[in-house]
Amino acid sequence: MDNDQPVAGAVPSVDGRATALLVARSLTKVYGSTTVLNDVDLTLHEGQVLAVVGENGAGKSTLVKILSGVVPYGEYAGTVEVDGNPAQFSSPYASDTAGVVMVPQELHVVPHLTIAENMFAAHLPGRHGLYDERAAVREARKALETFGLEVDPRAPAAVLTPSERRLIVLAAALHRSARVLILDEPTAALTEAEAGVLLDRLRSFRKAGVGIIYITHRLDELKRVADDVMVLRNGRLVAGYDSVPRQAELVSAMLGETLRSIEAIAHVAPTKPASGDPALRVRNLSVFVNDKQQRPRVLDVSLDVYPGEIVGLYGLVGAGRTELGRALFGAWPGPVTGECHIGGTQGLPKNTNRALKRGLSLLVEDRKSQGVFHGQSVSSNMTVSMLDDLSRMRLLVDKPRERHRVDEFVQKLGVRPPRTRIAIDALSGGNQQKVLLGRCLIDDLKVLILDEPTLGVDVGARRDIYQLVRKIARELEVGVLLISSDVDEVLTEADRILVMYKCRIRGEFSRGASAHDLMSAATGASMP
Amino acid sequence: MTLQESSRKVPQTADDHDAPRAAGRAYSRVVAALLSRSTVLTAAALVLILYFQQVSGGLFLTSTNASLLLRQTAVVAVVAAGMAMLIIMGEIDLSVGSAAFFTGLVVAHFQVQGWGVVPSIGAGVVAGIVLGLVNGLVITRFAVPAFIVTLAGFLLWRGLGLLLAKATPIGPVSNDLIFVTEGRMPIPLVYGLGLAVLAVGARWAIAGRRGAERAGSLVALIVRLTVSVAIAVLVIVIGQTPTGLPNALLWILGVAMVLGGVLGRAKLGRRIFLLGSNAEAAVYAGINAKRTVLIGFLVMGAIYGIAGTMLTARAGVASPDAGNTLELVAIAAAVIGGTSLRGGVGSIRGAILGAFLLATMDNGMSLLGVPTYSQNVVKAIILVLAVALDGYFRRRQLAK
Ligand SMILES: Nc1ncnc2c1ncn2[C@@H]1O[C@H](COP(=O)(O)OP(=O)(O)OP(=O)(O)O)[C@@H](O)[C@H]1O
Ligand SMILES: [Mg+2]
Repeated sequence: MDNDQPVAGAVPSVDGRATALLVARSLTKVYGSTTVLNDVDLTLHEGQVLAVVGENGAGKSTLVKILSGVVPYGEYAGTVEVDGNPAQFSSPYASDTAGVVMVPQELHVVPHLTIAENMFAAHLPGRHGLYDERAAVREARKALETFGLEVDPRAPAAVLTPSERRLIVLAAALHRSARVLILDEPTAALTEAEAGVLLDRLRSFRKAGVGIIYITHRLDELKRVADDVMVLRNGRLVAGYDSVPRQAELVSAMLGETLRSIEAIAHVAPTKPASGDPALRVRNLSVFVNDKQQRPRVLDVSLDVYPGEIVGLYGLVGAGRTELGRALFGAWPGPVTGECHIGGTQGLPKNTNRALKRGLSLLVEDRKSQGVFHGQSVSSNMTVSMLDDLSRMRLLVDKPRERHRVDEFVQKLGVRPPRTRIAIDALSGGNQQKVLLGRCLIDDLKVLILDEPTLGVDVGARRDIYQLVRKIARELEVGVLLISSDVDEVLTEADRILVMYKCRIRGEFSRGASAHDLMSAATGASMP
Repeated sequence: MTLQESSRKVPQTADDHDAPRAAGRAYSRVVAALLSRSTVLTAAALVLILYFQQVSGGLFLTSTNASLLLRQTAVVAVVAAGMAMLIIMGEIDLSVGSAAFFTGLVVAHFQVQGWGVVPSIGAGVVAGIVLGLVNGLVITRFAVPAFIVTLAGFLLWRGLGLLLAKATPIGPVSNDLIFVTEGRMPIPLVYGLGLAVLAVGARWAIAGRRGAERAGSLVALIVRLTVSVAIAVLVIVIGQTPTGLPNALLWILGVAMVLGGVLGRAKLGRRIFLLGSNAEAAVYAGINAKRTVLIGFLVMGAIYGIAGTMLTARAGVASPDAGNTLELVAIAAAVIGGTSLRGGVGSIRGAILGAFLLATMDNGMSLLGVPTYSQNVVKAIILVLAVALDGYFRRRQLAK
C-alpha cells in the first residue's frame, strides 16, 4: 500500500485498492516561455481506469507524453515512479519495455511497411536477431481479430484509411502485455461499434489488473469505462473525481465556468429543406484500389448535396466514406468511374488543385500525415490552399492581405494561442484541426467535404466548429458533406443522413432518425 | 465556449500593453537574435578572419586578398543558393558540378567561335536550362528520385562534355568575359551598389518598425540603420581602392536577391517550403508538386549556366576539371547555412554565409600554408558541428 505517501491533490487514492502502479509528482513542462503543464500529480493503481479530460490545449497529451517517455527525462520537472521505483524514460521504447505502453493521439504509421511491421514496429518477433515474418503475421492476425478487421497483415499500411490505421495500432497495443496502458483519444475516429469493442477490451484489461489512462473528448464514454476522472485546465489539475460525475459538472470544470449546462452545448439547429440545383451531384461513382485486383472501395454511389445543406455521411471504419471524399476531391490514386457535377461544372476533378479551383475543398481525416506542414507557421499552414487569391501580380504572396485573412480566421475559429507566426506543431491537436478547417475556407467555396471535422476537438470548440460550418453552409450557400463516425454529430448537425456499408450507400435518413436506425444500417443489419 | 470568451482568456495582443512581459519578450528576442544562425555564422566568420589576420601577419585582410576571397566564393555561393532552394523543397542536385562544367564549356566554345560576351553567356544559360529541364522531367514524369537522376547527371554531363571537348581545355576566352567576374567593379556600379544597400537597409529598418513585434523597435531601427549605412560606406570606400571590389560580388548579390525574393515572397517559394515539409499534405492542399519540382530544376538550370560562365571566366578557359566536387561543397555550404536535409527548412542567406565560411577557411588556411588534406579535416569538423547545431536550432524554433 502506498497510501501513506503524501500524494497531494490529484485523484484521491482509494483505500483498499491494489498497489500504486504509477505515481507522478508535480509534473511541470515548459515550452519556451509558456508553462503547458503545471505541477500535476497523478496516481494510478492496478486495475484502475483513470480518465483525463480537458479542453484543447489543456495539457493532456503533454502529460502522457511525459509518462511514456515521448518527452524524455530531463526535459520536464517532477518525478515519475513505476512500482515505487523512479522511472526516467528516455524514449517511448524505454517506457514500453518497462510495461508502460502508449497509443499517441497522432499516430505514426509508415505507409510502405507492412501492416504487421507497423503493428509491432519496435517489438518484431524474431529468432537470433532475424525478423520472423511468419510469426509477426500470425501475431498480427490474432491481434486484428479484436476489431474484426479484415486486412492482410502482409499488405503495406498505405492501403489503410486513417481510422483503420488507428485500429491496427490499438490492436497491437492491446495485444502487448502492458502493465500501464495509455490511450490518447483512441476513439476519436471510431464509430460506436468499434469504440464499444475497445471499451469492452479495456474492461477485461482492468479485471486483469492493468492500469489504464484514458484521454477522451467524448464525455459519454466515461460512464462506460472510467473509475476516476481528472480534469486539466490550462496545464493545471483543476478537479479530481473518484467516480464519474455528471457531464454538466465535468464540462464546467473543464471550461472553468459554472453557468453552462450541457443542454447549451448540445444545441439542435433547424433543418434546411433541399432546393435549387445541387451544389454537388454524384451519379454511379465507383472507386477502385490501384492494384492488380482493382478491389472496389466505393461502388455505384449516387448522391446530391444542395447549396446550404449539410449532408451527413455515416458508416463504420472501412465503409468507403473517406475514399469517396478523396475521389471527389481528385486525390484518389486509383481508377474512379462515374459522373460528378460540382456547382454546375461537370466532370471529376483530375487533381486537388482543379477541385479547389472549382470550389470544392476537403478537410482531411489524417491530420498528421495529410494535413499539417510540420515546422511551418500557423499562417502558411492556413493559407496554402488560397495562395492564388492572396497574391499580387499572380506571382507574389500579398503579405498584408494574408496576415489580415489569417487574423480573421484565427478569431473566427478560436485558435488558441492566437499566434500565427509560431510553428503549427506548437498547437494542440484540436487547435491544429481548426487551422486546417480554416485552410478549407477558400473564396468561392461551393462544396465542403469534412472528413471527421471534430476529431480531437473539445466540447466547447466542437460547438464553435458546428456553428461555423452551419454558418458557412447557410450564409454562403455551400453544400457540406459531413463524413463522421459520431452518431450524435450526424444526428444533430446534418440535415439529411446517408449511411454507407461495404462500399455502398445503404440508407438515407432524415434528421429525426434514431441512433439505432443509423447503427443498424451501418452494420448491414437492416439490409433489404 | 463562445468566441468572445476565448479571446478574453488569451488576450490577443495584450503583450503590447503589458509592460513587464513586453520587456521580457524584448529581452528574449535579443537573446534569440544573438543565437540565431546568421549571427552565429557571421560571428564565426569574423573570428576566423581576425584569427587568420593575426596568424598570417596581416596578409589576410589586404584588399587583394579580400578581392580574391570574394572571387573564390562566388561560384560556390551561387550554386549553394540554388542547392538550398532544392533541398528546402525536399530534392537534391548532385549533377551541378558536372552541369556547370558543361555550360562553362558551351560558353568557352562560343567565345572561341568569336561570339560576344552576352550571346556566349546566353548560350550557356540556355544550355543550363535544358539540362535542368532534362533533370526535372525525368524526376517528375518517371518518378525517379532526384538523388538517382542527378547522380546519373553527375556522370553524364561531365562525360558528355569531355567527349565533346576531347578532354582538353577549351579557350582562351576573351578578356571581356574574364572581366565579367574577375574585373574590378566600375565606380558608377560601386555607387549604385552603395545606394542599393542603403535602400534595402532602410526598408529592412522600417519593416521592423511596422511589424507585429513593436517592442524595442526604436533600438532596432537605429541599429538596423547604422548597420546599413556602415555597409554602404564600406562598399563605397573599398570600391574606390586600387583593387576595388570584384564583379563576382554582383553575381552573388543578384542570385541571392532573386532566389531570396522567390523563397521569401513568391507563391512559388511558399510552395517550395510546404512541399519540402510534407509532400503528402501538399497534394491535399492543392499544390501541384510536379510542377513545383520542375520549376525548381529549371531555376537550377539557369544557375548551371551562370555557374559555368563564372567557372570559365575565372579560369580563362573551360578546363576539364572545372566544377569538380562543386555539388558537395554547395551541399555543405547550404547545410552549414541551416538548410535541413529533411526539407522545409533553410534560407538563401544562410547558404551564402555558409559558402563564405568555407571559402574563408580555404583561403586563410592556404595563406598559412596548411596542406589541402588538413584543410579537409577542418572543414569536415565544421560540417558536422553545423549539422549538430541544426538539431539544436530546430528544437528552439519549435519551442518559440
Ligand atoms: N512542441 C511544442 N512547443 C510549444 N508548445 C507546445 C508544444 N507542444 C504542445 N504545446 C502547447 O502545449 C499546450 C498543451 O498541449 P497538449 O497537446 O498537451 O494539449 P491537449 O490537452 O492534448 O489538447 P487536445 O485536446 O487538443 O489534444 C498547448 O497550448 C500547446 O500549444
Ligand atoms: Mg492531445
